[in-house]
Amino acid sequence: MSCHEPAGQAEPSGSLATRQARIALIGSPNAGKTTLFNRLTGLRAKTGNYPGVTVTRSVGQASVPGGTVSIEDLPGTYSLTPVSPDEQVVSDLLEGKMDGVEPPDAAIVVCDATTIERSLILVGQVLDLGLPTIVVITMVDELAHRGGFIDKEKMENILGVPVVEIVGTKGTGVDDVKGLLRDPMAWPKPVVTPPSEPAEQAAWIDSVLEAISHNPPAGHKRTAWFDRILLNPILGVLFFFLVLIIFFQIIFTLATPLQDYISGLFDAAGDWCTENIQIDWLASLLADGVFAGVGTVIQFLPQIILLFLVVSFLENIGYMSRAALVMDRAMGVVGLEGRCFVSLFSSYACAVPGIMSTRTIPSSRDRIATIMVAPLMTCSARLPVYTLFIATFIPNESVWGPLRAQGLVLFGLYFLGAVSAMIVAAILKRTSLKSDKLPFYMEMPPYRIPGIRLVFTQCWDSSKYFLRKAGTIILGASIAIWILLHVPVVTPPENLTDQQAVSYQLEHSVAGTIGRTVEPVFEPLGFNWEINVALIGSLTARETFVATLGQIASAESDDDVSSVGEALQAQTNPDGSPMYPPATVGAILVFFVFALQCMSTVAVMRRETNSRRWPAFAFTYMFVLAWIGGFIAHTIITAINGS
Amino acid sequence: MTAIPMHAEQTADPAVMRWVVRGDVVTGPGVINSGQEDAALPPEWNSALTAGEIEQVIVTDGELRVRIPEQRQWRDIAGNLQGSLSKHLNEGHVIAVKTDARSDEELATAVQNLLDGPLASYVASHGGKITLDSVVDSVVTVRLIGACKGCASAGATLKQGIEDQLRENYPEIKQVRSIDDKDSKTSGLAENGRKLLPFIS
Amino acid sequence: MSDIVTLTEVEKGSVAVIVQVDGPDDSVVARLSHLGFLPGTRIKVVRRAPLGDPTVFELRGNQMSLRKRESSTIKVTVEEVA
Repeated sequence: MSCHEPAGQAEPSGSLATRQARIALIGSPNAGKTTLFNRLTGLRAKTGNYPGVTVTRSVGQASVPGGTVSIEDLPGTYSLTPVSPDEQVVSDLLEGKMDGVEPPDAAIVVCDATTIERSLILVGQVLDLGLPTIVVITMVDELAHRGGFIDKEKMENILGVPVVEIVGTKGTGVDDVKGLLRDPMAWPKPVVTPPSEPAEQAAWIDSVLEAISHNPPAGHKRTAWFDRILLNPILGVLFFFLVLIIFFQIIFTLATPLQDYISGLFDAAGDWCTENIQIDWLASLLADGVFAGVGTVIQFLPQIILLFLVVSFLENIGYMSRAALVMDRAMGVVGLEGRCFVSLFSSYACAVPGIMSTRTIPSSRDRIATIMVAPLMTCSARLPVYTLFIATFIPNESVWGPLRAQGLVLFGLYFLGAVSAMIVAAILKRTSLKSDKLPFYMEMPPYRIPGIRLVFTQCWDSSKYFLRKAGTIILGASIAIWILLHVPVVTPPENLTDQQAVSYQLEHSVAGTIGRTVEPVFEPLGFNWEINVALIGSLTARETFVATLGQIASAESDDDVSSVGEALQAQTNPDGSPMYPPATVGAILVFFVFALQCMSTVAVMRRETNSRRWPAFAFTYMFVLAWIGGFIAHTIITAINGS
Repeated sequence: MTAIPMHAEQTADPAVMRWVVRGDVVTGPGVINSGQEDAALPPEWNSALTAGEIEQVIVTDGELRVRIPEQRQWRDIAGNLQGSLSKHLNEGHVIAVKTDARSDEELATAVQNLLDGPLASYVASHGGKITLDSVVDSVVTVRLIGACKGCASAGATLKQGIEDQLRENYPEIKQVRSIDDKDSKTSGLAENGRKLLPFIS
Repeated sequence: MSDIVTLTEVEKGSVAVIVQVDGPDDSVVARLSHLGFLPGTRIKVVRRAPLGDPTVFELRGNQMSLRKRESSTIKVTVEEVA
């Protein structure tokens, strides 16, 4: 029986006159906690990490008469008794054991009216903390609609704290919560807490349910109907793949025109600089460094926003947990779980939202393993590189019936990425990221029409981060790489064309020097210094590889060529052999399957793992894989061709 | 492995809490005052009664109503009382306390006195009026009139308050029923009909 | 009273009552009980995932899926056979 009252630690450590009241928002996943949080704090939430761990921390400010209170949206949890190190974070925070973070002054427990039976357990645990507390019951409209009932006043008598009923999606009752926020220190602390021994707990819940005239909601007919189809062994899997296909279609058909538009905008800005800025180096820095570099990343914004919208919509409507259920067994083979699949799948479009969507994975080990392999999923930034090289160097001939060589190679590259991701995940999960004892459980929430506001808020939050945080890092990296490519400034011989002058400058720049210096490293892969320079340039974003190669190729080729592809084909080594023999092309393609050439991804990894070690590890292992893969590809193709 | 379903509730009177116990293991009516003991109660409860930490325990069917002295805090004692009660009942003990019941006439007079006296101002403060309808077999029926319009919870709150007061003084009252007066049907009380019914089961 | 079996063995569509949650790790047992898997709780086996695992259970007003590893720690008696 648990009846202790940690009264001492509930006291705020500073005077409230001098500092803001801090309120913790506690609730199980799907209880509507985040909707309430957004309603209370608007868009003024800051997300980050708790010190030293991979647990996302969201803090927002709510306006109350005479000031603001700080509300902390704790990670969704069914229980305050920690099983994993992540959950330890939450319980440490609430008990004031976290270094550098003061315990909250008060708590709001959010529970879903339709699952009040289960929610009572968490309510009991929160009451046990001895903090001033209120209970918010969400989705009361759905409860009433499904014929359920809860006697709120009786519940207040039993719990000994105020109970507020709200409908988060419509905002009903939110003002009542706001009214209470005025003076959180005046919220009552419970005088007696529910039992914690399982049998007594079950008995307590039964007794309370009877007292509050609990009338459980009827089964969710819509949910039962949809689940019969969506989780049917055959139809469910078919539907699942249909969702995947539509998902890709949306991303590519809607995002591509926008993407072209944005990159056009940045190109135009670059051109304007080139034409109107008299100082050559500054014009080049702005055009080739800032606008080109940042532009190549920002052009992914439409795609990322769309991805976030689709993922958030599927998540809030309740489909993601079904998709995770369908894939769980398959993911279990490599030691991950169904929810990891959802993130890896998003990474097919772009690793940035993929990595950010790992927040729904409860175990931080699974989460880190997923983050570590997400960049191996073939993202859309690799496509320009793949298509250029495949279209240029792979003959479009039929291999077997309708299967053509080009298509097969492209499929092979996607497949290689996915398989490697699974293998690396399996290795990580068997070594440094062995599963902790956190059991697997996943709620199947009823299918609900998500509040548009919530979907957009979540999307905005994530995109904002991408724009601001990744934007600054990418800007810095772009400038740094521009400097590498343009310093020291050399005077090209006078007989060169403009293009050749650019190439001459590249060759003699720091990057060119590095490209030459590392030639021995990449020689086994068949890369020359030009490719090395392009690789260095592609560290900001993969698709700049194409641009740099194009620049060098068009500078060096004597003839007029209409496309980058033709320019590459025409290029020769000093000894007259082609610069891009099949073995080298193969090595480049395989290298791109593995290498982590994306500053945005590194930046997001840094933030989501809350460490420098993990992104450094990812970069290193992917580079090693890329090199080995490229070497193997080069060796095999050379052997086959006998050259 | 299963335990006796029970829970604690606060009442309108801060000095009084009640423990609701299901499954016919608590029966009354009975009153045990400070300084007394009853073998049926958990030993910890008896020590608390002896020590004056509890002023009074009123036992009715399925319910234990505990009053503590005003200078004491529930926070200091409620957990212990709940723990020992749960242990006592889950060990298989039954709490059966019987003191002599008063006749319906005696109860009617007492209820009327309460309604006219201590309760009158309380009821008035909630914007309503209550009259006694009948007392039959220790079941009290009252008539609720004119609770504040538009306040859906007023009816339930008012009824709860009265019931707490009546049962505290007269544990032998088995049930308090309410009839909504014709006037009050338009005042929102009717909607609370379902809430009013199962007060004591 | 019917025999005590693990939740894993209960057929789809059947209803069982939890007798006890018993696993090698106390914190895992506690977590399952906090999810609502408490003694005396009625639980319905709703469906199995297309690949056979995990299984979706309905209890205490919501649906929760568990893998076999977790459901095998929950001892139940079958009340209604599908």
